[in-house]
Amino acid sequence: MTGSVPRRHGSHDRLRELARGVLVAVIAIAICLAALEVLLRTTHLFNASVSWSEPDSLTGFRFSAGKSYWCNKENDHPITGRINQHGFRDRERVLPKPSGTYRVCVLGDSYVEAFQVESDSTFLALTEDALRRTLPFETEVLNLGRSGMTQTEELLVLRRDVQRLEPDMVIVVFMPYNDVDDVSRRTAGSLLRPFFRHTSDGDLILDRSFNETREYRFKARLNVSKQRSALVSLLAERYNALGRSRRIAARDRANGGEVKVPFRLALCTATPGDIAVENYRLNKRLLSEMNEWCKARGIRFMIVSGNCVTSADGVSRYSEIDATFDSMFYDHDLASFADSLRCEHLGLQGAFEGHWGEGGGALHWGHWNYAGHRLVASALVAKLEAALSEEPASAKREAKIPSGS
Amino acid sequence: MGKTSTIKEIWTFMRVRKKWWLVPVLLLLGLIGALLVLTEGSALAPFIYALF
Repeated sequence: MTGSVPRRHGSHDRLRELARGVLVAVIAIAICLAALEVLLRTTHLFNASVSWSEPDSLTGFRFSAGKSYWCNKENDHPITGRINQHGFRDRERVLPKPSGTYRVCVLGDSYVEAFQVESDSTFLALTEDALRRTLPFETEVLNLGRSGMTQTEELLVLRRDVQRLEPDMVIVVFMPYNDVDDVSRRTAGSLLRPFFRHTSDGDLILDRSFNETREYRFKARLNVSKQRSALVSLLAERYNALGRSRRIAARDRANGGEVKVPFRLALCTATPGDIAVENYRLNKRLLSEMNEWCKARGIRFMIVSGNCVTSADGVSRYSEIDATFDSMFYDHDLASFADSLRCEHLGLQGAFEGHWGEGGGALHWGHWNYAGHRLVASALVAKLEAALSEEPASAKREAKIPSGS
Repeated sequence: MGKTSTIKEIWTFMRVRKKWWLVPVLLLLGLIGALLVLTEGSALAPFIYALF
């Protein structure tokens, strides 16, 4: 036969062709995704990196012990390191605590976690280094901060994780930025977190219903992929950030749309509104619970109130919006609250305003920059040196033994 | 004009060469790209650290 006979395509052949097309498409998609993954991991395009956090049925999420992190949020270069064996962004700590060591555990949010600067440049690392030089006994200052924590999560972490770290002192860093917003379900930027609420009898009820939500369950399942894929992690992070910023924008719109000081600063004015007052009452109740927990175990307790205005011109700007604006509100109010609890207090707003008043430069990118961390460290070192000089002789008895003796 | 003609060319290429398997690949890349571009602003919000 010389000429080719046109072949009749039956449905079987068409199916085979379709199946081949689908197979090629699937393989092509897989190659595409693999290439994207390699690209994101090697170049960190869009600041992508694999996730170093995991679901936590008590606090929403926590850091994965031993996981590496890569974070490029506000600094001009990425910050890398490893989560320690206890699941915190901190130096490795030995258990049981070395004899004669004074251990300070510090709870707080992203300002304490401080992914914007290297681990050795955080105010806590600087404080620890300074105290080791000046105090006659070994001192450790542990960083137990985690992004987004409010007094709710701090109380839960204190009860669950902190005792085994054998602290002599617990410090809670109260940041007006999100602590007042996120402590209540009504105003929180995300609902995938625990909430405490008061009962009519004044008891505290823990609401962990986020565990039952479809979204949380999905995220918990997705997290396995996030810890293995920079692409999945990037997409999930962008989706989360979008949802959170939309929720915050909706809340601000509901606030009336007129130019006001931000919700977090409403308490610094004469007309804070019922919601902010109620939230802040809960913040203080939880601080009080933490103080009692510590006192019952012979652990000293300190409240640090963070700065609420982040730039030199912030005070005048807010004062123009509301003439009753008082930038020192949190410093003063939490100082008298700490007095009533008989615990220590350090206010940072005064230190920041003092720095700006002397013509000092910027202390923030979004969070504290290197200068901000140095300023906070110097205020904390002075406070701790004074506080620890009153420590009972038992701690000093095991003072540093000079090497070689 | 340039963008439209590029899309047209890709479409013609797929139609003439019957490279239909490229459709899902392009759709997927388009979706990922769109999500990244549309959420760029929110991801840069300095205080929002959506770690989980």
